[in-house]
Amino acid sequence: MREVISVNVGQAGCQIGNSCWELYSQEHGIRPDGYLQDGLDRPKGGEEGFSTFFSETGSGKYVPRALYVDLEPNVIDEVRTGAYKELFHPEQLIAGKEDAANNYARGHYTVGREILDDVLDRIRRMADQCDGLQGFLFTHSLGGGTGSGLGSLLLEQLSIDYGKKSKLEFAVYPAPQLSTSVVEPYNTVLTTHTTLEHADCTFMVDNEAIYDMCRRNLDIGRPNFNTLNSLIAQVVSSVTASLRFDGSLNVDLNEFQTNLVPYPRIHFPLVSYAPVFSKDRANHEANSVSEITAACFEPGNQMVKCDPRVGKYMATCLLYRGDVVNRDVSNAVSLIKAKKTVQLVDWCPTGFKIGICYQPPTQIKGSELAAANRAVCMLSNTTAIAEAWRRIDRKFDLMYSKRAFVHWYVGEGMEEGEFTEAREDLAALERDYIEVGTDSFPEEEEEY
Amino acid sequence: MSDISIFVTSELTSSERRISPQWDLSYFKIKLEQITGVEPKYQTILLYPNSTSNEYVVISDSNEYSEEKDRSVHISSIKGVVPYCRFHVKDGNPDSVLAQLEQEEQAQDGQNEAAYEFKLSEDEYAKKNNTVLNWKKSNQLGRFDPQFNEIKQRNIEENLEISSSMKTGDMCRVINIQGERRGVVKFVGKIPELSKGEEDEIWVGVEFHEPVGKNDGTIDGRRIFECRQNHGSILKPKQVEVGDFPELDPFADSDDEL
Repeated sequence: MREVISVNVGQAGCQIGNSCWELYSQEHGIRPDGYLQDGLDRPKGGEEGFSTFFSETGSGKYVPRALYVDLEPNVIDEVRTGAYKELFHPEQLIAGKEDAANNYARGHYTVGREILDDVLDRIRRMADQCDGLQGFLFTHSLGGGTGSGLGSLLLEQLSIDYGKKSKLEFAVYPAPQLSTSVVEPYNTVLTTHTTLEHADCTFMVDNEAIYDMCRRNLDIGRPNFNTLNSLIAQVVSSVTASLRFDGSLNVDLNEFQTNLVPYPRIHFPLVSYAPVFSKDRANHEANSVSEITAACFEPGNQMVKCDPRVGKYMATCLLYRGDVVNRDVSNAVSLIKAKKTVQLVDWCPTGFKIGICYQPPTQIKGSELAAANRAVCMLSNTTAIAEAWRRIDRKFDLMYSKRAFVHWYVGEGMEEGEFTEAREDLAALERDYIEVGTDSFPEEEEEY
Repeated sequence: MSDISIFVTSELTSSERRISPQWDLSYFKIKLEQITGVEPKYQTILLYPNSTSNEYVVISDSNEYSEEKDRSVHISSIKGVVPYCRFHVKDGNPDSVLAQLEQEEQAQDGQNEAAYEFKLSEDEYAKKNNTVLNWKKSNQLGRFDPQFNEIKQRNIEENLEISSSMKTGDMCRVINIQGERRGVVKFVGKIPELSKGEEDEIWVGVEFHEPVGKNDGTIDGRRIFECRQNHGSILKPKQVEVGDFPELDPFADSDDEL
């Protein structure tokens, strides 16, 4: 057994968690009440894979190995009263009374600290039920107060309590144009600094990229969180499919790190997904292995807005699902390699790692995303993602130069020195990416 | 009544939020301050029926601010509050820190480096322990590889080979951290002024269609190729991609906007 515990923190984390567990349940043939769908005598997917994400109670009911944590009660109350209320044990849903007011310091020091012991206790109880806990899968936003503050606090604590167990994150990253709150750059820089040495691998998702995908590819005029999250869930499901079904690559949490992270700090692979198109278009769009593979290199299929043509690839994993054969994949990959636009870092061993999971993607009822018999999710550690850090660091600097809203944080007992300490760490991270990229080829980039 | 999802926008922010119809306007304004940074007494709130509509009603005007009055108004009693409507918050304080941020942002927009930017010097970075630089040093990677010179020689040879298929007049593009630039190859050959001791090194001179180059075709006062001011650059063959790359229309994606 190699169980994985999912921890969803804050509003964004919990809502994405909802979409993911709805999808996981359907993929494994579990009804919203936790029992098997009619006609099944065991969950879909190998017993081994399935049990990493679900536990079985004596009565034939299955329960997600998941915890929901939020500082305010409303989002979690909806889980308690929603369609999947019976799927979860009440102990898995933890809500406080007072929200973090978009403030990292409230989530990390004051309000968040009050429920910390309770959360750690529940995690301990879930971990005790596991035979061979692999690690944790976090879902949270970096810009909100609870997701950034409490999320990073929990990651720190899990490092203390569970030592070397893997910790992977799905993190909602601030959109490039408009912030969701005026202090979002502060929260993002502070939480990234705190978690940099605690998370093994972080998959970032920026809502603007998803929003554009919904508008452009799914023809949704006015996307909202529900539409965004059902698309995010599809991507998260693809990343975790190899853990839940019999796959061939990244079948253990620590393999993500082994395959994608050459140096611990450089642990933010860019995620791309294809195909994404609406039911109306499904009949007119081609969906061959080489086409969906090529689509992953298009900026429009990325979860974070950045230009991979300007970056260098340190490592790439292509995770296929559904009707896919090895020969088609090899052809598709050699086509990509032939294109000059994919530049690899040549002093560190890299290449395309391929995983195939024969379980095709499942369509969620009500989703605009067309059903597909195959899909691919690309995880690539590229220096291009440093663009995202540069953007947020610059926004941070603009605010901090005026000490704008710093008193909101100091008022919660945070020391002002933490701002500069965090910012310096992020500056070093930017340097780290430059160091990975520019020196990769001797004096390659020269212009006079 | 359960929460409803709505959008909140301001000059600097845009987000989807959840509000409770039981809240009074005074409490809602405190929430809006946490999101937008606009103080309650300076908030003017416009209500739009959805996220894309341009029609609005003013539901609160900062010129008529009264906390007492706000406490008597409940969200549920405001006409037009429906799921996925949009509240736009305007700042009535011209001296607020937000106003300063907006001005500064506009002033710095498009510039490569802003005065307020945090800087970490090479030295400071080199002194840190847990960095990629230190890792490369201790593992003899990249330029810290003892075989670096051998790799460098191979690089020169690869550049030589690529340059053999390039000629003056070829359409080309250069892609780097700043994006894509297109132009025409104007020169392929050796430039001793640039090659620090590497005699066999080959360079490519490009004239870009836009003034996005580094020179006017001269190096240290010597003319290498004919070119307009700031349209020329001299690069390694590997950086230049020759092919069917006609001039880009700078307004090609302008209809892509909202």
